[in-house]
Amino acid sequence: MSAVVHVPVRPRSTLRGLVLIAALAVLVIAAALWSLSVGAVPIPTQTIVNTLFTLDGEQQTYIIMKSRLPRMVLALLAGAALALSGAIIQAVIRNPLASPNIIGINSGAALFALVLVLVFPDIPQVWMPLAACIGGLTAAAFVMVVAHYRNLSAIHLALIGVAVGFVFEAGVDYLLIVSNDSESSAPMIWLTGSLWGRTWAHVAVSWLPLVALSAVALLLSYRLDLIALGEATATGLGLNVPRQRLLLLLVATLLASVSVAVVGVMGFIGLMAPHIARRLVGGSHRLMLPVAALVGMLLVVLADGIGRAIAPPIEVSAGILAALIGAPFFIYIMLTTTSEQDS
Amino acid sequence: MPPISLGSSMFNRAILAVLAGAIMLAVAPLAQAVEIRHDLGTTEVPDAPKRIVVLEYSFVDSLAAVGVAPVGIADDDTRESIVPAYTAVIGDDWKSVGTRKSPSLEVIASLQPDLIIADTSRHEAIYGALSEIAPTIAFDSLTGTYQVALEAAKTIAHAVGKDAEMEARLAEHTTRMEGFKAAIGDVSAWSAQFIVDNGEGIFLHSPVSYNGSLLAWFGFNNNMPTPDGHTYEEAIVKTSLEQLSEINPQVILRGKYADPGLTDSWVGQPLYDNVEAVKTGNLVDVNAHEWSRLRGVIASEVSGANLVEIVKHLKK
Repeated sequence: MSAVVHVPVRPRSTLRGLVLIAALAVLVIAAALWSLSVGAVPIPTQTIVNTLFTLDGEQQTYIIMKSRLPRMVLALLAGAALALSGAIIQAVIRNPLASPNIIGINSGAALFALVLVLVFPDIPQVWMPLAACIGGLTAAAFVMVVAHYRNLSAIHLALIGVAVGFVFEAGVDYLLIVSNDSESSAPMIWLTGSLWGRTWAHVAVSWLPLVALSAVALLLSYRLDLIALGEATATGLGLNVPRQRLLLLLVATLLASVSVAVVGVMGFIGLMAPHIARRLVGGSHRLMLPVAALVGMLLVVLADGIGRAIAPPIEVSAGILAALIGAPFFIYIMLTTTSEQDS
Repeated sequence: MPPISLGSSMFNRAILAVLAGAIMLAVAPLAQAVEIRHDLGTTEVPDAPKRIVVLEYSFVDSLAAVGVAPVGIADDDTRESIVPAYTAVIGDDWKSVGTRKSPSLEVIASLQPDLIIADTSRHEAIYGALSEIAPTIAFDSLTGTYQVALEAAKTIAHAVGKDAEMEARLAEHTTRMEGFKAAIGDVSAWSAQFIVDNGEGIFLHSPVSYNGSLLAWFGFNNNMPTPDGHTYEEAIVKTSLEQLSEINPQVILRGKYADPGLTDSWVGQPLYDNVEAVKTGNLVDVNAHEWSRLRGVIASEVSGANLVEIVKHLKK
């Protein structure tokens, strides 16, 4: 079951990893630029260039600078955050099925953000990530506390996470049924993981925590490698395992919560991106984390672009599309990986 | 290119200043902005905006009432949803900006509007984004009453510089509506209920909803309890067969979005067959789109004319 994570450092060359990271980065940039060019209003490349670099000639200032660009930035930030969060949680809980969604962080964050929106509709945007973090932490706290004081097996931890997730999800469903009917609700659209209506205001409240937390996550990657060796070995190597776990889970929780606050629930990214990354560069977190982040960015930015291009002027939520694009790829990877890594 | 010489500079400057002043005076009243107070704040709207985008059907109604054609409509990507009563006035030269629930900000921006009219509850979350595109005013269309719709129509007319036209149109409206009321006669002995049946559920439009208040204006009673507020859930109440049977209206106006509807599957069940309106044959099918989605000056006249016919055939 936990074989995928237990296989620690796969002997693959660092050079190959770096080349892969560079290639992925190029892909991400290409996808991001492509996402600037698609949407309900067709805009010629020349106009996009004119607008981006304030050159003479025709420009589309609103659509490019105030609609597509902030969405692109948010898609990149949230994609990386969710992927990193998922990778950390999978390593800490030592369960390949774990993700911020599965252990209830996303639902907890969504519930608290939703309560804030419904109870204080006039509250400024800034408070959304904060409320989401409190919700995500509340959900994660159960898992953290249990992990800290009771020496439970990985599978029990994950199951407790699942149970906590269901409780918060029930809360979200209840709120959506009793208070804001789907007919009138922006929350409903936001919850499906959508970048519709996102502006620089959303970037302003989320970029700093997301960038800072992502940096911390990448810096902590070597500790994940130690934890992945197993608790006894890690302790033997001088790591205070319970404390490190707590710290890592905290970072993962905050990453997922802040992204839920700005782009809603995109459950699949946190599960999928780390597995894709592991397949590409192996289990060493030093390489795997940045690759997972890039894969997450790529998935969300593509999903948002396709969602805008597919049936204009109607938009399909990026969360829905990310699952649709990602799932077949994910299944393929699982089918081709299992036998290799179980051996 | 050398600067064009204007000769004796003092004299010319004086003439230019006078000319400029005269032009300013002539243009000033035209270019004056109007301050519009609306549900989400106070907004400066340029005088007589020309390129208007509307995000609810009732705002199409308000504009059509004073002969103004919007450039963009959130028509749920269904052009037929803008009924002939509207297209007769506004024509067909408008662009769909997507659904009312999540209109495309890009398409709205590409139309380069000088005024956006939004719904208070639907579009509050994107009010900031809309305001970045153009001055945006918001009214409670979705959950407002007939009276609220008329008030909004007046404010919208003011925003587009058509006060006089709206005043005349509302006078005509009152005459028409009073005419319908007279033709309908005294219906205070009847309890009437508008319901929507979408095949999966039924939704009762409560006394605080647009249709509830419209039926009340014509003198009908309503057996539903009147809610305190006017949120969406209080205006449009999802209802079970048991609850419908308890409310037991004498007349049901049914708008079906699915055929067969959920109510059709209830035929034969005693609880349903004994609902007063069903028992006496006073369950009348009406146009779901026109009744449940359209609100405003013109829409209420369509409903009024419809009601005159319906009442003729009601069975005692």
